[in-house]
Amino acid sequence: MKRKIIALLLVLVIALTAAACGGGDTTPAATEEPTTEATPTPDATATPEEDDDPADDGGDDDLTFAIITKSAGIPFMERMAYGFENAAAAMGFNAIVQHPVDTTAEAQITVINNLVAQGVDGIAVASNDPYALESALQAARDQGIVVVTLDSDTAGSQLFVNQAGVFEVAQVLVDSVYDMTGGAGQFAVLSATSVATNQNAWIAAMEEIIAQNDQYAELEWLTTVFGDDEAQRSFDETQSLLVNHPGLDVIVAPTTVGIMAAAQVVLQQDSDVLVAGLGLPSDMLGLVGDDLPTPYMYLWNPIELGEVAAYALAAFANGDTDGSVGDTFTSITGTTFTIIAAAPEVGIVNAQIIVGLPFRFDGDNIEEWAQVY
Amino acid sequence: MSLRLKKLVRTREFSLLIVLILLSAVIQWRNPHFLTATVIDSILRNYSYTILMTSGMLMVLLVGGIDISVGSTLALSGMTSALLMREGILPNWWMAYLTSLGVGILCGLLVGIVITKGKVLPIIATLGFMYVFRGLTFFISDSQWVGMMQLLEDFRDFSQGTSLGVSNLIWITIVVYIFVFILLKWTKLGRQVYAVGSNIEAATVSGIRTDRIKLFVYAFNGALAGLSGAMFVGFYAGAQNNIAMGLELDIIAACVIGGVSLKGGQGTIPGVLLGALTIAVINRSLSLTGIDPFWQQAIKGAVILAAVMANVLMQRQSVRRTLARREI
Amino acid sequence: MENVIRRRSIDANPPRGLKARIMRWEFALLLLFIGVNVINMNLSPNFLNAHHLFTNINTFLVNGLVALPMAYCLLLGEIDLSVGSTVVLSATLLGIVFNATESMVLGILTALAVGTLCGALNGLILIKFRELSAMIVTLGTMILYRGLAERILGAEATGGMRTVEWFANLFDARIGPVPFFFIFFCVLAGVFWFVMHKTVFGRRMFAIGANTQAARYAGINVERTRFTVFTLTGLMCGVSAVFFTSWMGSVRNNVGEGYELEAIAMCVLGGMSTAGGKGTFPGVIIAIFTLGLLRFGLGLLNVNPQTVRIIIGALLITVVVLQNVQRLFKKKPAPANAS
Repeated sequence: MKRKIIALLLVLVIALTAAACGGGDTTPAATEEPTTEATPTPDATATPEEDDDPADDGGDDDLTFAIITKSAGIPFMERMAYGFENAAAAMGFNAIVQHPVDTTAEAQITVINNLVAQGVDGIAVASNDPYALESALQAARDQGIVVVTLDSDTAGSQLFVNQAGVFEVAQVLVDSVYDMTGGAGQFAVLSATSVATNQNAWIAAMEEIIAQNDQYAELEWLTTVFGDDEAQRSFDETQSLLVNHPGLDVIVAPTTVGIMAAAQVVLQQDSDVLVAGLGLPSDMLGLVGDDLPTPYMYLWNPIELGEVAAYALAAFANGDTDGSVGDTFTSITGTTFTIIAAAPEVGIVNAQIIVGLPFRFDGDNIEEWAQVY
Repeated sequence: MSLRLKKLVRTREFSLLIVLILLSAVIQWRNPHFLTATVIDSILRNYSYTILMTSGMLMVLLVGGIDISVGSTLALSGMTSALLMREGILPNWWMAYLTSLGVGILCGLLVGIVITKGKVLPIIATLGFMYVFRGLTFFISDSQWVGMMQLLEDFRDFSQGTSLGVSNLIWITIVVYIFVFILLKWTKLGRQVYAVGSNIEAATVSGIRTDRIKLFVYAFNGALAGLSGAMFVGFYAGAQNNIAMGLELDIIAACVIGGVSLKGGQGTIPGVLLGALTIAVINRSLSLTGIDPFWQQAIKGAVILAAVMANVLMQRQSVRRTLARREI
Repeated sequence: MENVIRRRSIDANPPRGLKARIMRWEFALLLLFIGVNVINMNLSPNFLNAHHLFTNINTFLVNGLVALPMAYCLLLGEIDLSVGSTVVLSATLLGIVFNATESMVLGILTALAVGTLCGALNGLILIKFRELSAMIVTLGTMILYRGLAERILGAEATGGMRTVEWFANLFDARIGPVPFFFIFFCVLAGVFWFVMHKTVFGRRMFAIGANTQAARYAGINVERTRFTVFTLTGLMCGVSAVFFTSWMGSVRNNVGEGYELEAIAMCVLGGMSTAGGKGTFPGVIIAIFTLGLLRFGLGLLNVNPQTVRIIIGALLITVVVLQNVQRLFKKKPAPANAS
């Protein structure tokens, strides 16, 4: 009996909730704005079925843009979000930063749904999966929300803000190996998780570059291992590489945790192996330099990447561009970006803009950049 | 065979030792580098804190509890001292270790109080604290990492250094194991721990203050997790906020493989040492044997299952033999 | 722990009467549920939008499907840590079979069969090796099943499942604002409630959870019940995998990570005791919605997910402590259920 009452109450509450929503936009008037930065523009919150008021028709100068990172606690992503927030503020827009609870597509979809429910005007997302976000992003676009991707592309977006071309990144990695081995020698790759989309694209591109150029014929790719972006796993894997391959010359780690762990192991074991890859200057300080495990490494500026994503959202929302290939738009800082074609063979399914080239960090500039990011 | 030796052969630890030797033999056959000083040193070094924390978990399991918040406690305490070093507040390495230890004890005490005074089941309380401590780690660090150069140099040197040719981290582990071994085997407190776990009502009736024992055990476990936090951060020369996620499962697995009963009252230090070594060897050798990285997790799961099942079968065998002898 | 269990009576039919009713856990939980919703409505103007609300409910119900059989596992005093891995393995094979045969029906059947097999394997090991606790066995299979999915998928994803329109509609289709999946979940929850509280099987589960030894003496086939419950858990993981795939359209090897802890948290908040033999099903259902809508509400306020984690963790501990405080007000002495 009791349980029936409870079940009945539950149904009642849900029914009431549903009824209240069905009746249109019954926003409680009492406590309208408890949090200032989080509250989205009230205009854009109308029920989607009845009113498909597109938020991007430009009349509203109080636009709200959101950025969704891969997950919380990744310094690169934190800096990217910082750049996004700054650029949005500089343009006079509101910014929402959302870090999903873990590095999965499900967590991102939940966040996208929340943002759609809030009626934001634009979403920039660093996708965790090349396919799975498509329907959620499509649902967002159906409501007139502008969607761009940055860092990792996914189907369903209108534009991919590419930190640096996939082949350009792969090229500098291969060239690092070529340089560090002196043109001939053995190397191994220490990657992040096996499902890390960017790392997989770079590794695939490296394979292609090596296969197609005779210049690299003397480079022997021993193996690719996964350190799961965990210090301990990456340590284990690096130590095993050193034990199992006495002739190893270079370890390439295109991931911030991986390069850090590999360089640490090499430093602690006083090994002659060199470490190349992509790393954050602030984490790699003390490991990058002439007599250190990593003579030089590469990365791009995450802050700039976030900024450009905000400019792109603004350009779409203001109608400066429709995202077609060849179109250009100019940011408030005066930089002009040209939209170029997609590159499906390396997983870029949308038209893209390329922010810059990989930047080289070595003993001379690392201290200076470690202050920045 | 002397009676003593026969008795030894029948213990659970002995059958586990055989499992470990068999496992090592297979790995050695797959990779001749396995039984070399470098690799053995790296196993003990990289897993020193896993082995260390297993002894704390043993005590918790002995009183019939469980603590799945240890990974988060490790992260919180490691991050706390790393941040304080970054801000230049901690002057030297041992202060950093003490800070982590202190944070660990606080976390453990909090868990213990909620379990004993709040009468919350251990798995629920520690599930909650697992979220809370992890969240706090992100909160206090503002989701940032602490890099190598932001840590004190003597802190890194101590954590990565050796004394008498053996890693300092291994020395810490050895000292703690000896301490817990003596505590459980020859002190009143140790016997009370077993008493609480095997029959809590009998223990209460015989005048043991069971809540205090439990509180001590959780605080001790927290202390070890805190100590491990400093070891982790120093050894890997950096603090990330997602460190040691899922570590609690490895530690509980190590205990269970080592013959600890999740119902309490059953388990020994030599047993959990062997269990922890088994887990360390499995984890470390996954990358060493050069098997396809995509097979590694499946093999790890299968080996853990096989190890616990083989242990059960061997135990049954020895019990059967004992019974048969008695009938004669 | 054993002694505590021995003292507890079977709680399948809790006391009646108005006062007892108000003092019951579900009532407090219901207040919490209403409280969460009222606060959500007041804080975020977008909470009360049927379309978005149900979009969000749908997403946490995929995990909620796993919480239903988890309640049975906890009722028996067992635990199943392998559920998330069973979901990923079932979903993986669904994708593989679909892409190989282009038949979604075959894919779905495969997912259900794989889930059931995984659960049955857990159950089989547990009844053949009674010395082992469910926690260690399912910890082993948790690593094993996900490992198999990793092996099958490698670094790739298996995708394209949403191209089958009716399959995508399993998750998407709505009757008015109400999703089909929501109705499906409610029906399933009803069945689970009925079995737990109204059938012989349910009473057996209570009896085993309260005192396994006594249940055995009373002639209950403990092993068969345990096997059934673990197999059922596997089957429900297969069902969850079907809806997950229908939702996402693609599968990678990190799908379903953490489902086990989330499901356990839902059950525990709902008043299920992990020591076994105690709890009610409506509590679990309310808890699923409370946790999910709390997350939704905090998400709408753009609260940092790490802060959300702290809030959920603190809530979990607080409600259980409150539950014990509440029990002090009753005439009966509080059973010492902490061990």
